[in-house]
Amino acid sequence: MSTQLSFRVNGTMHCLTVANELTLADLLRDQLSLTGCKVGCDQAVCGACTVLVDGRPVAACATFAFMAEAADIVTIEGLSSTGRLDPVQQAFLEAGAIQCGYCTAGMVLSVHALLRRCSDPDDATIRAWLEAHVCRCTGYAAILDAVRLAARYLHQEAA
Amino acid sequence: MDGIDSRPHGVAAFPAYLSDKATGRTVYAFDVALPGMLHGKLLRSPHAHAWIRGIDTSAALAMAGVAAVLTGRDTADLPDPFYGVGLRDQPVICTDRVRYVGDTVAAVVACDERTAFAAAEAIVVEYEPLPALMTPEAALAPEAPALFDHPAGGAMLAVGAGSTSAGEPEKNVLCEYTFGYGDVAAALAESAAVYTDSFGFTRINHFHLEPHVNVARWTGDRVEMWSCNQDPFVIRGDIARIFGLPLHNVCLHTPAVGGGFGGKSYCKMEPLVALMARRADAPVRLGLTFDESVLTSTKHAAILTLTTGVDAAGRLTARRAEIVLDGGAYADASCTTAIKTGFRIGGPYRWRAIGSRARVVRTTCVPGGSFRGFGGTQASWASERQIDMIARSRGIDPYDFRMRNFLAPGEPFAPGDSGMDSDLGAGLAEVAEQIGAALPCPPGRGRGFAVGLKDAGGTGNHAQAILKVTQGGEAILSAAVVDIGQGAAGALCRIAAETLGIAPDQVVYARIDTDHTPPDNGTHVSCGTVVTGLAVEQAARDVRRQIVEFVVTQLGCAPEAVVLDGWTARVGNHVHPLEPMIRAWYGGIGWEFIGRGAFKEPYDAAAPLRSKNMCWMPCWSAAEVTVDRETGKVTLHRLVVGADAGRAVDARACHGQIEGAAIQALSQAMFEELRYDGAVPENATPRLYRVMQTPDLPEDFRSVVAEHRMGRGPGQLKGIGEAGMLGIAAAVANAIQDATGACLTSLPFTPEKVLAALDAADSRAE
Amino acid sequence: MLVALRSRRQIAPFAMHRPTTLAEAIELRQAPGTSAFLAGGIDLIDWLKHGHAIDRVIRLDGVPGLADIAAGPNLLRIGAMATHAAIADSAAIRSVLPDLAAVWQGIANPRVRVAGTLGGNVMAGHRDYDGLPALLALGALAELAAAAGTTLVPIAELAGAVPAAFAGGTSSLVAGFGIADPAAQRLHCDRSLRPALTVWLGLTVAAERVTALRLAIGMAYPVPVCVARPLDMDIAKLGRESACLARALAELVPQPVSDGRATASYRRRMVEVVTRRLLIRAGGTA
Repeated sequence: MSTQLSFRVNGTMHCLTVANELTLADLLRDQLSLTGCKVGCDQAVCGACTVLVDGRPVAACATFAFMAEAADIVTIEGLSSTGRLDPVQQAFLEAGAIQCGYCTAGMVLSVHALLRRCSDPDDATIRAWLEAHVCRCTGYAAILDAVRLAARYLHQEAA
Repeated sequence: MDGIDSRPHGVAAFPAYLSDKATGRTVYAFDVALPGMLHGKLLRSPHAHAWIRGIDTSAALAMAGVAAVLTGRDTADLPDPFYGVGLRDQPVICTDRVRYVGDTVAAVVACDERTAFAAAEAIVVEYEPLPALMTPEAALAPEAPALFDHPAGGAMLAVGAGSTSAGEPEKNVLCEYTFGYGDVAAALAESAAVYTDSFGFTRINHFHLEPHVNVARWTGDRVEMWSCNQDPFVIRGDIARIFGLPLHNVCLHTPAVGGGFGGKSYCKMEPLVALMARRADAPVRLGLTFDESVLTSTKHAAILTLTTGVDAAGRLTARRAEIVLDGGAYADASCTTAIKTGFRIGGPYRWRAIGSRARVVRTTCVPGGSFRGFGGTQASWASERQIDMIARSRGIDPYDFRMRNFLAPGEPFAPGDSGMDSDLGAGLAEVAEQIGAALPCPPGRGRGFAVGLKDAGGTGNHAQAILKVTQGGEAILSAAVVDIGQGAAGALCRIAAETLGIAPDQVVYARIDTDHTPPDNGTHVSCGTVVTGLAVEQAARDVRRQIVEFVVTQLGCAPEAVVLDGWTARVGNHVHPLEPMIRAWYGGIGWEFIGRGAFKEPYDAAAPLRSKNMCWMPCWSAAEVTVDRETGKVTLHRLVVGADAGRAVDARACHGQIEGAAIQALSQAMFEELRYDGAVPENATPRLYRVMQTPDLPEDFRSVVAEHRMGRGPGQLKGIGEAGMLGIAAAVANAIQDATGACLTSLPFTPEKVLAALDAADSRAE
Repeated sequence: MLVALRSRRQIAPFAMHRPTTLAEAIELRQAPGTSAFLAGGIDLIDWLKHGHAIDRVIRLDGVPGLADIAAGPNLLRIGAMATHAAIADSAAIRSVLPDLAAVWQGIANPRVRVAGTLGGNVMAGHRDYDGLPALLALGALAELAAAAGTTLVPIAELAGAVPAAFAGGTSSLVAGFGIADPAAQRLHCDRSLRPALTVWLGLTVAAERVTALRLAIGMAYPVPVCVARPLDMDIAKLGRESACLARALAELVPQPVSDGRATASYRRRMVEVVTRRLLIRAGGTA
């Protein structure tokens, strides 16, 4: 039992038939080879599988692939082309906010969604937004720095 | 703030292994896929303790797409199907009985995961339940059944002077370690006061976001594995032993690891995956579900009873410690944890006498294994809590009490061991300054300090390194330290670059596989930058020596006249670029200098652990809290954590290690715990198992990277990875007592528990 | 489910339907075989990952109007498919019942807020979720749509029936929630003692007088509970009466559970403490 879908991922149109029970995470990883989307807790708690669907952060492990119909999806691979970094990726690297890296893709995409919604978030807003993510390596301090730095970079880019 | 535009930008500004993590290109064990790969799933015991009376796999085997179904019978022809560190009691797969909820009963290999799940459901197991032993107390009761009826393979780890160790001394006790010096009884008898207190430490899970994943493939009698494990050479040795293979028939590949913290140390699923692949005659991927990983390994819960004496001048005299660790069902790294807990119980202080005994009790719970700080976390919690309680009892300021009793730099931790290589007083003073201790605490707040301590670098540890440098000065460094996020690869590359005199971005870290990488004993005990660092430094010096020798043959000068500077040789006033010189002589595809380095800390029977410790890892912590008297809720306003890197090769990575460890420890201190409801895990899923997240952070949280320059590593560096775990729980509990008088002696500091302690303090006051 | 084998790879195949009318949705639910409604999907997918199998998944995102939020002087109606984010950001809700929009800013996390729906939250029957206690405190009604027509039931009646949502058949669909006389309602909550308990205080206020009080407790029972009592008190006096009222209410609530997170006695004691604080807070606001 499957569904025909057409949707956009990182700017590219795809038309596929997917099994109904397939999750978005497995569609991206297994069928489109976009393995930057990691699966961690598989219970929509850790945020490692976060991707942007129509600009909104969703847990790909807890979203059916068929919900992607007509959607515009952005994964970590879609943020930058080879050799370049987007401002949020740059900020994470500079701030030392990446240790094992397993949570990074989901975190970076989620921060994009935050900064689009609120270009200069205060500390409380950042902490509340990042409640959707678990990082077991960094203790979060460097990640908070990265978000503040990313906000400045995006602000500069816009200026 | 310096200008954003002036900072390095773009992918090329960062080492590839880091920028790949930001761009999603990193390949983790989770991502590894081989052609023709089949998928494994495991059937696990729903009982805490039971005989396996029969397993019917016929329905599972009959399913389309099922390649193999394995049970304990499939290990009968293996030479030694057990693993563990020291004592080996964990079977590759259960044979006659199961010993905890989650124990492995059967393994399925199928064309895809769904089929493997369905086949697992179709296996019928007949269990005969046995009494569950859910606590050390239950396991030690006279009527408790013995969890094992055969002695374990292997042997308890050997120890040195002043220590004893014994394997399986009595029913349901896996091992026992004692440590001591001086005359404890006499010292206590002479003390002005003696205090006895018991402390409880909880069980937590590593919660690394990447679950355990392994892929195995056989070619004839050779097996290759892609494993998430932190200790590839340990695994190689175990698989060779278990399957009766020559070492070089086993090759471990280590992709990037999505978090470990000790949960991916030593054997976990590797032998079973190898067996599954051999039985299925195809490559097999076993990816544990996250919940399975939670049931694989934990930090040891413990009860520590400390009897401590102090003299009239406020100096510590002696401590007797009785420590019971909950080892869970199988040994894993319990033998070493017992030793480390018993050994470290004195903390960073000077004693006339110490007498400690640590025992690991076997229970029908998730096995206790290696977890960042192991032993040091338990010991530091109890010791630093009691130190504070004693100081308050004596009417001495806890800060001053610590200062009065610290070991001095150079002073041995114990007879026969190495000297303290941090300035303990200076470290505490720096952290105190950061938390604003010069000023009185704001009203209603309490402040607490704690100084945790553990040894680091391992026991008699060794490591090797190979450095290959091209004629253009591009270097590739090969060593077995696994980068689990701690930045070890980067630090080691920097050490190589510094020693060679070239830019850091000219050195890359090689992929790890046990055929090509020089060996070490595993990525744990914070040994990477100090032990392997010394081997790397030696390898780089070997390359320098070869370059100088080459220049001498080319220029006919004396070796002393050659100064290597960047990728040039300066002789007198002439600067000779190296590349053209090397190219001209060697031709062809060009030349590579290959340098070797090795380090081994000798065994020393006169040292308590059988080898002097490489370095010491203090953790200076300070916390400031308020407590809601009516609810018991603790608000942590400020937390400062400091550690000594000796010399910080990468300051930001050091901060990251301290902070990450501190938040893991804070999580355990405040609420994190793997709980059982009777015999069944109560909260072993991500939704229920709460770990610290951003809204839980203190308002002001900072780390201090001290550089006391007394380490033995290159440029006086030393290990720092585990330090941040050690002082946190005690600092917070000490702050709670400072604020309210409530005396907490067990984790976690839930509002309910704090409220009970507040009520008790109030009724004591009446 | 086998021990620890919760996984997205376990989700069994199912037929997917996307009805375009409420009637069609209900018909599909009543048809032979097992089925479940798909709202935000968070809880349904989690349930399926535990190995439960159903024949049919019935998407509700194709039924127009199910996510609508409509605010009138007599009724605030929130469609079951309204997401938490939509509720938090709703100008309509802010205009008649601002307390609800304010509280909903902090529910769950940003990812869940965007996908999760109020209906899904309530129908998941999860003891820890906030939808049910909030609606209980507001004295809300649930709109049940069945083949025969729509009925309104007090939310408390729904509470007991909810755990069956995924398992067995049910002949009706919760289409929305209604809060009568929304401008007269006040909602205060304290979630600071999670996971031991959450406390929700709902008040009905007319001309500065509190005429009704509802206290709902979450996370402390298998299903959230609510006690209600009529009042006739100046809102400004709530603070002064808070200790007495809180004590009385704490005695009225059923015995909480004892579990690994907290004991019954701690929970009951906190009901009194937190309720008192909420009453003081409520009395301080006009």
